[in-house]
Parts: sequence; C-alpha cells; structure tokens
Amino acid sequence: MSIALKNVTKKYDDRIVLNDFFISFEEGKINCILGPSGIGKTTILRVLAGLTDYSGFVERPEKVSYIFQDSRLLPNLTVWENVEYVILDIPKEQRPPLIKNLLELTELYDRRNDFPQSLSGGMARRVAIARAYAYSADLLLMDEPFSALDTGLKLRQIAVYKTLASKYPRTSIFVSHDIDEALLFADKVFVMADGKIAETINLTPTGDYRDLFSPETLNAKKRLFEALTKKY
Amino acid sequence: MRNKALYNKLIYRLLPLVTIVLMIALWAIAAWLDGTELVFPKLSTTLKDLYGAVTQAEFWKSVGNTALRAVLSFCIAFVAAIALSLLAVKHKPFAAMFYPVVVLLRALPTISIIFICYLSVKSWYRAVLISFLVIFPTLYSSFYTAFKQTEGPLAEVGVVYGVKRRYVLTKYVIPSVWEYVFSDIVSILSLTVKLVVAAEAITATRNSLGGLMHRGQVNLDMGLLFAYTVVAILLAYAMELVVRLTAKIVKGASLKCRLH
Repeated sequence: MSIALKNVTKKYDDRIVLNDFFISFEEGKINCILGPSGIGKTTILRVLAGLTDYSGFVERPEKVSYIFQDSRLLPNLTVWENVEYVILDIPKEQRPPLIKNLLELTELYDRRNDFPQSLSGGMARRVAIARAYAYSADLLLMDEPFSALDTGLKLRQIAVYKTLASKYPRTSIFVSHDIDEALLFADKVFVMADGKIAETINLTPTGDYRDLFSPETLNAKKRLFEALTKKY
Repeated sequence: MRNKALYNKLIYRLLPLVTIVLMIALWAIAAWLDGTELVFPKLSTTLKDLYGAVTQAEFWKSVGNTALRAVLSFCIAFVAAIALSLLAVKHKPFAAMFYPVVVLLRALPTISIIFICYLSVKSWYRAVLISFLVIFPTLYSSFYTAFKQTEGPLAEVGVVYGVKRRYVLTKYVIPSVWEYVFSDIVSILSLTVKLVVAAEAITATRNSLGGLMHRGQVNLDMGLLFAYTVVAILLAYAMELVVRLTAKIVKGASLKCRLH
C-alpha cells in the first residue's frame, strides 16, 4: 500500500494551505517533512489521518496512529488506561502484556497508575508514543515530536522511537522545522517550500540517532539549509 | 515536615468552625441590640423553638416534603438538561431554536414564575415547577459547555484510533463532563433547596418547610422562623454533603478497581 497525497488542495476559509499538492512517501522508513512554520506540514498529517476534509486523492493504509504535538492524553485516565484506550477492541487478556511491554520500553511502567497531570512534558510525550505503538497501525504520523525538548531528552526520545520501531515496524512520517531533528531521526527528508516539495534527500538508515558530524550528514545539512533558505 | 502538614490540615479544618462561631456571635450581638426579638430572636429562643418543632410529626412531614420536592425538581432539571444539551451539541439547528427558551428562562424573574404557577399548578407541585424553571437554564448551560468541550482536540484521539463510540462515551465524554459540571451541580442543588423553600413560603404551601416559615413570619414568631431557617440551611448542606461523599466514594472505589 503506497502512502501519497495526489493533487490535494486544502483551504481554511479563504486561505489556501495546500494547492494541487503531491507527495509520495517511502514505505517502511522514517520520512520527514521539513519546512518553516505555517507552511502546511501539520495539514498534510491531518489529511493523512482523515482528520480534515480536502479535495484530491489520498493513498494511505486503513489504520493510522498519530502522535500529536501536545500529547493529548485523557486527563481522567491513568498512564496505563491512556495506552489501553486505543486497544479496547482487542481481547482483554491480550492487552496487559502489550501495554506492559510498551510502558517498559518507554520507561514508564513505574508510573502506570499515575494521571497525566503528574507527568512531565517528556513523560507525557512518551505515553503518547506508547499509545501510538500499542495501536496496530501501518502508518505512524508524528507532529513535531521533539519540539520543546532539550538536546539530552531529544536524543533519549529518538532512542525510544528507534527501539519501538525495531520491535513494531511501520512507516513513519514526522514533521519538523528543525534541520538537526530531521538529520538525527529521518531516513528520508522532504523539504517543503512555497507550497510544494522543493528538495528530497535520502539518508542511510541507522539503528540509533544519526551522527550529526559525519560527512554524509554534513553534506545533507548543507543541502537542506540551501533548500530552506532559497528564494522561490 | 509531616507534623507541619498535619498542623496545616488541622488549621484548615478549624478555620470554617471559627467562622461559624463568629457568625453565631454576631447573631447574639444583633439579638442583644434588638432586645425585642421581633427582628433577631435570641439564640436560646431559637434553640428552644427548634427543639419544640422537631418533636412534632408535622415538622418532619414538612421537611420530608420539602426535601422530596427539591430532589424531584433537581432530578427532572438534571435529566432534561443532559438530554437537551446533548441534542443541542449534536444538532446545531436545535441549539439555535432552543437558545431563546434558555435566555427567556434565565431572564424571567423568579417572582413572575411564582405568581404564574400560583394559579395554574397544584400546590404540591408548585415549588417543584418553580425551582425547575429557575435551575434548568443554569444546568443546561453548564452541560452544554461541558459537552461542547469534549468535542475539542482530545476527541480527535478517538477518531484517529477508531475508538468505538461506547468507549469514547464511557472513558472520555462522561468522566470529562462530570468533572466539568460537578461543582456546578453541587451549588445548584443547594440553590434548589433555597428556591423550593422560597416558593413554598410565598405560595403558603401546606406541609412544607417554607409553609412553616410563612406561618412563623405571619405570627411574628421569629424564634420559630429562625429555627426553620437553620433547618433549611442544614437540609441544603446535607444534600450537598451526600452528593459530595457519594461522588468521592464512587471515584475512590472505581480508581481502586482500575489500578494495575
């Protein structure tokens, strides 16, 4: 199943965000849409998630999981229950081992009975990650998954993603406005500028976060920087 | 550290009692200044009248009737507010059509409602209808806002992950709405008691706390009027307490079952 937006147009009232937009993602890889704020990156994710109306054609798997920018944990449910919320359809006896495994991988098992209000921003994000991986989707969408995290937490979070991605493989798409985030985490980077894809860069997949100072990464960084700052 | 926490807990438990003692002291001073007991009866007179009242069957029948009217009125308004606000959130045309009714009920003077009901409704149900008409718009608005906020960003989680409607309702909508409206519900319940008593007093309803207060006022028996006022306050507080405690017990028990 390919994942693509073909000739998609999306308007918010009179403002056109996507105009006859085309993008095709690499399956089984971590795709990144890089671009400045307000260019329509989140709109692409929302179109793929079926959360907004649009005109045009979208190819996507039936089941999609989504890590929102603001975690979106249900405040009246515990950490455990927030993860369980998206898998209430699977038999009851199958849920505990899956949730336990995911909470252990995200280092949240000890906080399983806590409510979201008592968690830090980073922890809440990890619960959202565990929830996204609990759901057996073929596509994972992530909206600025590392925003507002310091470098140490960012690297830890990427390590968590990579561990989960190796255990529960699926195509991932994340959006970001940060070149370093794209280079640390993505296998393929699409640079969005002036309402279209201005540049596409393939990177060698890595099991952990990428070395930002390797020649390949530095070269990619230069190209991404040029694509983002070029006048279209 | 632990001692300080205990000390703070104790202080915060005692502070309301201090206020109550101060209010009783003010009452005693006012009664002493009045001297005639025509406006402020003495505390001892009120207590004596209260003791006299509680030993009579009519008193308990009246309190029971008033409590029943308050509960009935509140329950009808509660159910109607949930049903109609849900309908309004789901169907915008209905919300637009119903809006003038809510505005009208909210703005309608209570005394007009009382006078209109006085002639057209049977005496037992009068206070029920009057308080229903007053509390319904507040409850409706409270539930409407609560249901509306469940349609926000958190609802998208259920949409993306294809969570079944019944789970969205039980795991997200109902707990969120309850959390949102709980404090309103508790204060509206106290208000209901106040309204029922007022309606009973103005319409001189038989076998009611308001009716007894009316009789006390007509006979210039201020001791008795104050005694019934104390009972009305206690009744409103007792209802509030029952709801608060029930909610606390249910929440605690449900949380215990949910822990992993």
